[in-house]
Amino acid sequence: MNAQLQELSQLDRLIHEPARLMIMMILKGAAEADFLYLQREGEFTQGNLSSHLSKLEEAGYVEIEKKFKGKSPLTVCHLTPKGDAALSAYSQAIIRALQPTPSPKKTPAAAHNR
Amino acid sequence: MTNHSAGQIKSAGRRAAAYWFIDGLPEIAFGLVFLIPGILGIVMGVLKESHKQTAWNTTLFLIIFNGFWILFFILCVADRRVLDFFKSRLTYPRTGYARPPVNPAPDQDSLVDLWTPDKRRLEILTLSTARPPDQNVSAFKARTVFTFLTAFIIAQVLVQAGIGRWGIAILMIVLAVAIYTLNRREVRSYSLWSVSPIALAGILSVTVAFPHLSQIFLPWIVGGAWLVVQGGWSLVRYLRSYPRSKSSEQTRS
Repeated sequence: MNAQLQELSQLDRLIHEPARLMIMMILKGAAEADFLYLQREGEFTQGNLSSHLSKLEEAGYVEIEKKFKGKSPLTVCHLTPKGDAALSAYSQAIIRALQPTPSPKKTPAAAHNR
Repeated sequence: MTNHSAGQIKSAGRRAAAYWFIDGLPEIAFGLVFLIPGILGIVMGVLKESHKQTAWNTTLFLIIFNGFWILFFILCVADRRVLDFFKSRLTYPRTGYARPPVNPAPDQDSLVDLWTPDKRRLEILTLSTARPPDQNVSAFKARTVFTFLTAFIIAQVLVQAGIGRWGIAILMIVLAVAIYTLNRREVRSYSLWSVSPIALAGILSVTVAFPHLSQIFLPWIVGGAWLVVQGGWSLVRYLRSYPRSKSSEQTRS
């Protein structure tokens, strides 16, 4: 198998799921975001977002904490260094896999054979 | 290969930065800090012209005026904290909380550029360096607020040099162009139409005989009013789009 294609099979499947990838992308863009912001940005249902966040939290990719902004309680999520590194590794793998392979250079001998 | 993914990722960072301006509160806050001393300055100019200026109202003017300078510096240093106080009551219960990205490192880029064999520049996703440069909330202070501040200082120099009338008119046109140009690639950009009232106010000011002191404060009042209107318009649109609902309260907890 082509090495580039082989790399695709080794992708982090936890991040590869579109909804979880979206959550991680949103959290990468913002320093931290609360449950409502994630729900609105990703157009998730409450249950869907909860379940994906739990999986990411279990893997140590996302940290969830209860905070207060003024008098409002907020469920704030942010990417952990582990999650950040996993996302970087995932993106690098995708970039390598999508990068067009350089076409083999024509050697003088090959040109002569034509 | 299409680059939809690149657009998506790019927008994730930009949206988080732009979210800070969704309710117009930053513009309203800075606008009021410029507008109120501007109004006071114009009133003082009129009072001085009509010889109704007394030691009492001059002292009061200086106290309020310097108070607003202090408020301005507090807002410059702690704008996130100050605005967070208002946003926690208005914005976060409606559309959620997102902390804007921190100051970006200059060498970071939101996109990785790859070169296709035919040398066409292709924007390809990168998640690893998605922190958006140049799209930070601090750009608003650097590009909008400090541009106004520079104009206020130049206005004072022009009036003291005796070329206030035409000088201020030209200054306001330059100010409008500067605000448009400096912000055109920012998350909070302004259209040419939206900055045109600044230039128009400058041109119209030539037709009105302002007292000497009031001329200095003309950019303050126009700049402040313009920011308040921009922010107010954003706030009205935001409140219409996201009326506070009970479901959002439940979701939050």
